[in-house]
Amino acid sequence: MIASTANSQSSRRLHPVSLLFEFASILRANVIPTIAAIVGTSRGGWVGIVVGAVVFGISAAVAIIRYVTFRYRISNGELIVDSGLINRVHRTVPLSRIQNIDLSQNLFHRILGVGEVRVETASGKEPEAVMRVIAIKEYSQLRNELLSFRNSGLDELREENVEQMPVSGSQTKAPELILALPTRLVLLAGFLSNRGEVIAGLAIGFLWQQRFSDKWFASEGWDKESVRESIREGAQGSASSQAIRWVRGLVEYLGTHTSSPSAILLVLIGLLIVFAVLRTFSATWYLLKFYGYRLERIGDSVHVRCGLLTKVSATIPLGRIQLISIQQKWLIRKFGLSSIRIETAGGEKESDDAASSIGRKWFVPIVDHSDVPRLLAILDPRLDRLDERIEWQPQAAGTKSRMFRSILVITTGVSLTLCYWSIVTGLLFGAAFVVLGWMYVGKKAKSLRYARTEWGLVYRSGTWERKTSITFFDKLQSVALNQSPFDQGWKMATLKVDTAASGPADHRIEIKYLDVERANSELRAIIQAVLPRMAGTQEKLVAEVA
Amino acid sequence: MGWLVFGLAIRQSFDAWQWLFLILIGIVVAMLVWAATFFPRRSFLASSWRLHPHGFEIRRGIWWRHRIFIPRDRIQHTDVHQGPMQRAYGLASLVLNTGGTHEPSITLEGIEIPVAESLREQLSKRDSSQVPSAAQADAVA
Repeated sequence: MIASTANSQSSRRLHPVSLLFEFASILRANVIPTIAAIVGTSRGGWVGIVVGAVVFGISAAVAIIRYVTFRYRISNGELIVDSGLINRVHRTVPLSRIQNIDLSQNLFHRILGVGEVRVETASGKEPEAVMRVIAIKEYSQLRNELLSFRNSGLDELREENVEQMPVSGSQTKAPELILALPTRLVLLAGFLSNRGEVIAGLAIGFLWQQRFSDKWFASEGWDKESVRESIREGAQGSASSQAIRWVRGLVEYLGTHTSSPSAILLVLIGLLIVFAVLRTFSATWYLLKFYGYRLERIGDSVHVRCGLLTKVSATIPLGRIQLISIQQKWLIRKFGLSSIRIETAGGEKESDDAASSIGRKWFVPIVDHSDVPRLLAILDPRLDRLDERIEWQPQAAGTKSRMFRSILVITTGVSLTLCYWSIVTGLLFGAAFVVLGWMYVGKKAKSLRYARTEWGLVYRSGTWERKTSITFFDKLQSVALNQSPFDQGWKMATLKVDTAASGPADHRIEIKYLDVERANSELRAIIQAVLPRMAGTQEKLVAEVA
Repeated sequence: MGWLVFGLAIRQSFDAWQWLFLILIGIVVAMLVWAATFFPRRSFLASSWRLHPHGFEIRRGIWWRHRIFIPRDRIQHTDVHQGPMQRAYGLASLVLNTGGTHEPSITLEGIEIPVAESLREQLSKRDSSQVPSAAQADAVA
């Protein structure tokens, strides 16, 4: 049935409730006139009503036009999308080019059984087609067609590397569960991560700009009058003002009782409460985002689905993965956990689009570290038992000394500057920094690892946040060897490889502190691996390149 | 650091500041002379390119040395670029574009126009056995 529908079919429209969502989104985009209209109506002014009526009218018209003109169909291995009235757009996307097909559903979508669908190719910053909104049934059908197309022989333009995947596509139509996250683990991940701090940081920055800057600190005391004033002026409600007042009182109390033990205790308790609140924030964020997380495999693609209120799902063809990155923050590592990010070509680096960020940046938000090898083997069979087989390359002999020297230079600078005011402080600071620096350098040198295998490269770095990234020779775009003046002095070099990965893993494969001889031989070996396999000529060719 | 200590030691004396200023001017002049005479020659000698059957390699730099290799089938498209100065000397830059994220274009500067054009010719010829991957073809489009 699927094979027949993939060849040609009649045009399909969006779900009728699209009108509603389209209308709401246009209204949201014109929020100021809308507010003007509401205010105008409540005061009985006719200008507001007219503005409001115009905005509503235009929004409704635009929504209707978009709904009526939008059509899509799959025909002869292509997704064809028609839209627009004045600017008619006829877009043809070959199914073989489609990288991802993502679904996101907020609470209203879920009640109505619809979802927003994005179709992405490698080409650009924005999705090739956004279907806002179609019925879930339609989405499943679209996805099945795409997957069945990918698995059938029609996919002539498929990338070479896809062939290296097991050709199990045609048999395994049914999704096969790879990983499901229990709520307990999601909550734990939330408590261990600093999402809350990030959100709080943003909030503090916002508040600071809003009002704290002059109103709060300029006033002599924190009396009732200024509270009232701030309530009147500020955009915040009275609850936050009460909290501010309370904190302010506390700060004043502590200011007058600095040395008493009770004050120190209070500060400690306060910090603990703040910490707990922030971590609860973080856990809530994780719960909202990753509740019911499921990773499934369907043929040659993986499918991620999660979310408590807004449900998101993303489909990623395995052959399109450019880079796999296993990331462990310090606390996460201490709990024996990991997260996995993947990078595909195309898409924005810092995309806030829920589905694409789930599919890449938060591909596996949390997992038991011992389970990582199993997942890697599923993502690419070549990664099977990677841990056991990997042979890390040794670092250049002077790595630790070189790292330490740069710390020494900074320490000398800072401590000499401090000596200008107080010699004791300067020396103490210098001594402490040298000891800590040596310890840090030891950790850092230990964390840096690099390995070359028969299929690609593995690079690990990071003391605080450890990142281990894997890429494949067939994904490399260019290879470079760089030597800074310092590198030359230490007889070292930096090896860099570039892929088409869009960067959500935030880990560039840039191997520093390699012995120059080794770096050159690594470069030769990588070039050899990247070049097309041609029996006989290869040896000669590589000799020539070198 | 040395400069800071030196500066602190002599900050009482206005004459010393004048000396320092003169020394700095001397250093700048020496650097300019070096940049105008010896640097271009060394830079020229340090730069080279090589065309291989399956790729292109560039080496350049004296202080910051770079050696970069681009497999031929990863080159998306090539441009020949000429600035006003280059045109005056009959030179051109060859720009190789790949699908890479960090270094999507790699420039080879200061080659003669015929050389640049023949390189572009040769690099845009694809090996017929190579099927362009979807991602690459898309970026070209």
